[in-house]
Amino acid sequence: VTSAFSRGPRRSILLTLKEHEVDILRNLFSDLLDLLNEDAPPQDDTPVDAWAEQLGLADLNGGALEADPTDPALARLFPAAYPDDPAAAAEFRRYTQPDLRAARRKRLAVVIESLASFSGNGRQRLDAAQSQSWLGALNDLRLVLGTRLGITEDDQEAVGRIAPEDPLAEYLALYYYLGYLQETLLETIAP
Amino acid sequence: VTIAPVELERPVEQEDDAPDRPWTTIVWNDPINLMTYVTYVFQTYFGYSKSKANKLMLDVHQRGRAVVANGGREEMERDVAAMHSYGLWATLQQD
Repeated sequence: VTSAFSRGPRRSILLTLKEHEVDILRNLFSDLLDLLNEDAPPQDDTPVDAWAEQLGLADLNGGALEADPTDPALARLFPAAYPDDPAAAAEFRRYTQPDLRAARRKRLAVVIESLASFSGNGRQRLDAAQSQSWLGALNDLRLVLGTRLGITEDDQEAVGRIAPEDPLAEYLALYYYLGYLQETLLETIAP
Repeated sequence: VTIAPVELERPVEQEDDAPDRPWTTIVWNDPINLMTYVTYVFQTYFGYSKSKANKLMLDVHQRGRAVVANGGREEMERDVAAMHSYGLWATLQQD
């Protein structure tokens, strides 16, 4: 049986994985979770300046609420909504980024939980909501990995640029593997 | 108080302060998102037909960008936030 997503009985979706795939995916997804946690605004112990907060200036004095991500992979997950208007982009970020980060963490948690319930080679039945979490989390992971690998419009470039003995080569293989997984999931759920 | 002049100067039409001018949600090409995935997102989020979603995806892929929705600013901000959640590279602008 091929490892991947397939249609199960009564509109369910089956995920079939080998033991080493479960291990690899578990590692990759927990790295992604670390990256998302790293990006979260610092839990500051300094008391909030009530005046500054009331005046909407709380983020001006060191609070660094939702800064533009400097890590290119995070910048890809949280793009600027107004490319030509930094003030509007910052405002948009302030209102949307916490929810967006929470949604990403939530679907990642679903995926990590679903991987935890595999033991050895196995098959698992997913409902519609779990499948959506898998779809989103797989895509987030591919965005991060693809950005790290410097994937360009022509995938072949990356293949040629990274020598087989380069440690990145392993990640390139994983990147294509994740694309394959996502493709099988899309074939299974696409309307 | 001053007496109103007989002839009023007509206000110059302002380009920038037209609140009802439609805003657009733009999706930009990127080398990572799968073509099938982008089509899937346009179908499920916007409710577009498969052929319309596919055409928009091809526009993104071949022309580098496509306008996928237009409307009021708040509505477009919701759409852009949703596209970001799907992992698509989206921006909004007033056309």
